[in-house]
Amino acid sequence: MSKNKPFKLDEINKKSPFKVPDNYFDDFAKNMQHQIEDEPHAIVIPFMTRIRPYLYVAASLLIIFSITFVALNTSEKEENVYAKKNSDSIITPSTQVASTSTVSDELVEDYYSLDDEELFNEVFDEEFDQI
Amino acid sequence: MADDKQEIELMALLQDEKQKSKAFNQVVLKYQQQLYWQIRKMVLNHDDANDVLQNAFIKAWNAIDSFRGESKLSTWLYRIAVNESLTFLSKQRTLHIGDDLEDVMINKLEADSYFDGDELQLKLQKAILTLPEKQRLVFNMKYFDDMKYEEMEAILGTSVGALKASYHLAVKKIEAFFEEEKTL
Repeated sequence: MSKNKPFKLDEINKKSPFKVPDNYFDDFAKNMQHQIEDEPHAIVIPFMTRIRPYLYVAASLLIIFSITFVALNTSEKEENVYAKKNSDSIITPSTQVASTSTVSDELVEDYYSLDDEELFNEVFDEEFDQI
Repeated sequence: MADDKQEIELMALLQDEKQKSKAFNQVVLKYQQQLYWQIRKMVLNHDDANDVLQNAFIKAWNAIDSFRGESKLSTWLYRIAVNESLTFLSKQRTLHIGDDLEDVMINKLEADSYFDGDELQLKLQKAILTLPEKQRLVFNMKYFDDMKYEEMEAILGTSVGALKASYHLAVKKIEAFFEEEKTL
């Protein structure tokens, strides 16, 4: 396309830029024949309507994954803060599992009802007592 | 002439209840490509064109008994396809209230794996989309298919003079669109 000459439509390739899937027309004719034979008053379900249920499922899954991801991320961050504050006493995952398996439900509830500051104080006091 | 003879034979078969669906299948085979490309140039996206084409043939099938042969079968089918395309676009406009339908269509076209036009061809589609829908029909029929004005008159119900003027104006608008793009 020259910048100086006025533009003329002939400059554009007239060949159709559109394509169809392989065997589209063969399949289309067969499909139409079935529709006419099976249901004399067939109705076409538009593409968007056909895929709408799948879109709903995909959207629901996305929401569930997002919530799970956010929840996991948040708890991981809390764990990191806790670990940082107690860098002197490193708790390995194996000791965590071992300890949680032996604690009672009441203790677990108490643990979750503490906020960060209370938790820190409690752990700090315990360690202090042990010295 | 051979086409006319074939059409007369098809019409006779379509009126015979026992032969009707077979004859209609022949109609589909004979006209599906012409109608598809006509629709595709209006709706641009393949999936949408497929839906509109199916709708057009089902409408034709449901109305075939009322077709009395006042016009050619191809003209009648083209008219249905044109109406279905315009109805589809009007529904899309309602669905995309607040958005520019033409922008939505271009975005869809760019994402369509069944479009392999170069930059200029894509720009041409953008330019065509700036035309009013009926002028787009006229432009597509003349520019891409080189359809005779008399045939277009029978399909669109617009006089040959008005069609010529509309096409001439469409070409000017498209060339002006490209000129404007040069300065950007």
